[in-house]
Amino acid sequence: MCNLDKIVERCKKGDRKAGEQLYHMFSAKMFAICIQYSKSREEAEDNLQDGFIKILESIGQYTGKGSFEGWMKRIFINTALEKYRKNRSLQVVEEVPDVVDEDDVGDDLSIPPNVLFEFVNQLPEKYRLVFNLYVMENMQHKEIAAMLGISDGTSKSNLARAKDILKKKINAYLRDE
Amino acid sequence: MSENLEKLFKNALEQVSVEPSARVWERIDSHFVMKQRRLRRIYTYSGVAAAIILLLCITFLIPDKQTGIYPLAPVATLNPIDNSQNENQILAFTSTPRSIPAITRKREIRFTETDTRMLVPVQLNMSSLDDLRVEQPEKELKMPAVRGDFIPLVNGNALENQKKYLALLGGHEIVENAPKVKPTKEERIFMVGGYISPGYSSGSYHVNNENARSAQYDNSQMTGIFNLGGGLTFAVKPSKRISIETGLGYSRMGQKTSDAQVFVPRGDMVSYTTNTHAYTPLGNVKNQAKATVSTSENYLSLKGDQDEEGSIEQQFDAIEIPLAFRFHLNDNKIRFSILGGLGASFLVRNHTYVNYSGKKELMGEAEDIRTFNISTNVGLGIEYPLSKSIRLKLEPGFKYYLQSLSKNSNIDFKPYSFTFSTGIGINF
Repeated sequence: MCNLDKIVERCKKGDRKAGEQLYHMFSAKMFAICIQYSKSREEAEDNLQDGFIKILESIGQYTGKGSFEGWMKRIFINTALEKYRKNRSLQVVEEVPDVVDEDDVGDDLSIPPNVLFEFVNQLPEKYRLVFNLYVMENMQHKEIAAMLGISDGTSKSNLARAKDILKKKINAYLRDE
Repeated sequence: MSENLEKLFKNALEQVSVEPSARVWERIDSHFVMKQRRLRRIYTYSGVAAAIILLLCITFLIPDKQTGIYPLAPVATLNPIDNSQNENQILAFTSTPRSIPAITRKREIRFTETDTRMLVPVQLNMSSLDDLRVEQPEKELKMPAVRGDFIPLVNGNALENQKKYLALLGGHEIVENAPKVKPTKEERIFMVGGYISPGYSSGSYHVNNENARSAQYDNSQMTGIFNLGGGLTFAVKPSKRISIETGLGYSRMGQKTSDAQVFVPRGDMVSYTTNTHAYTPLGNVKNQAKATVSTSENYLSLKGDQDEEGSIEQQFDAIEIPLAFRFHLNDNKIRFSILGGLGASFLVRNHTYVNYSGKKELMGEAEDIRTFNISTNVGLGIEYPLSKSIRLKLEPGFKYYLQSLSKNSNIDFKPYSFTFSTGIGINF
């Protein structure tokens, strides 16, 4: 049994010290994910807090199948999306025309990860969420639409717009380098 | 077309870590400390409540050994000879002649003078005032000389005394015609029983506007659910008209929301078994079902090939400890009563189902559901005796929960239930 498994087992028994160890093992990684799915740092901290409380309270449901990190990650994403849905005001369903997406970027670009991370975080929230769910979580548009309460078409067009903005940011960054 | 872009970002973002501020862990830690305190408080309160109920039961159930003791009644006796009083002797004063009207009117009483004599004080065989200050008058009652001088009042011992008293006055034939004093029944009884309770449960529902997007449900979509509960009751009856009841019951509350749009993914789609939350009227449910509620009636225009009409059913089962007061309206063969009280509910089951195409799939547990709730209940009781000590009980009732079932501040759902309990009660 590796160190993480032991910590998880102790957490299941309600050991608060183990909970703290678990937090310090994953907080930086999970905070980055929370930032990707939150509209501000403060909200990301709230989501990290709420998500971690849920993890410790429901850790007994983790059966050991699949990666523990993946299980945690899903909880943080769901916590953030839940808040997004709660705080979002009633909106008329919008159908945005698809953006033609033909250009791609080169495959040998050397841009630091934190720069790309900031590019994504600068996207408008509705584009950023779709982009993250599609690219990072490999979700289908139908699933994204169900999770965010939007239509398939909106999900597709938001993704295309997100990519379009990111491409422009990359090109601007490369020009300035 | 943009695979390089996706790959670029995916690889980069997976490497990023950002250290959160130290206060995040402090808040998490304080959450668990507070939770532990809350739990301790609940255990303490539950313990106190249980102790009070136990104390009440003991108080009403243990027979009072002092019930045979009656306060000294005014003493009446007949002394036609002498009314002189010695200051050193104790006098017990009589009541008026009306205290024993049946005796004074009887012709069989062979008084030497007239049968309308006034009763006058008579001296007792006591020599000092301290003798009256006995804490245990029953001791005095056991003394035949004293017992014979007491006028009986209501209980069996008193009746015995009265017989002796009447015998002193005029002989046994008078005793035969003396007014019969019924010994009082022991009123302190208790009843244990069991019941089953079919019912209909729904709730008052309100979502504030901040949550309108995510909730997407309204009160008009909701209907109730039929259910069956049951339990045991225990009642004590400290007086003829009132009884106090408690027990242990199992009941179900919940709601059914129609007009839900259910998304059923195709076989090649990503499964919803692990990471999807479906939004229900009572908040998020971590979805374990194959299908999920994708959106509401408002978005039917977006309905896709995999969407079907369906409903969401949410069931919450609770163990309840009621504390109710019952007032008996009559004392006939068929007895009617009204009751009202409070109940403490501990949630033990929280299930949300999605119904579509004739299937009923378990989605999972709704989040942020209150596990401890207080309800109030009223009812009308009808009791019919099946034998001397067994009664058939019918009881239509109404129960209303005083707190929202959801802890989410945006969702206000207070369940209520109409029930029709049927059961048996055994008197002891």
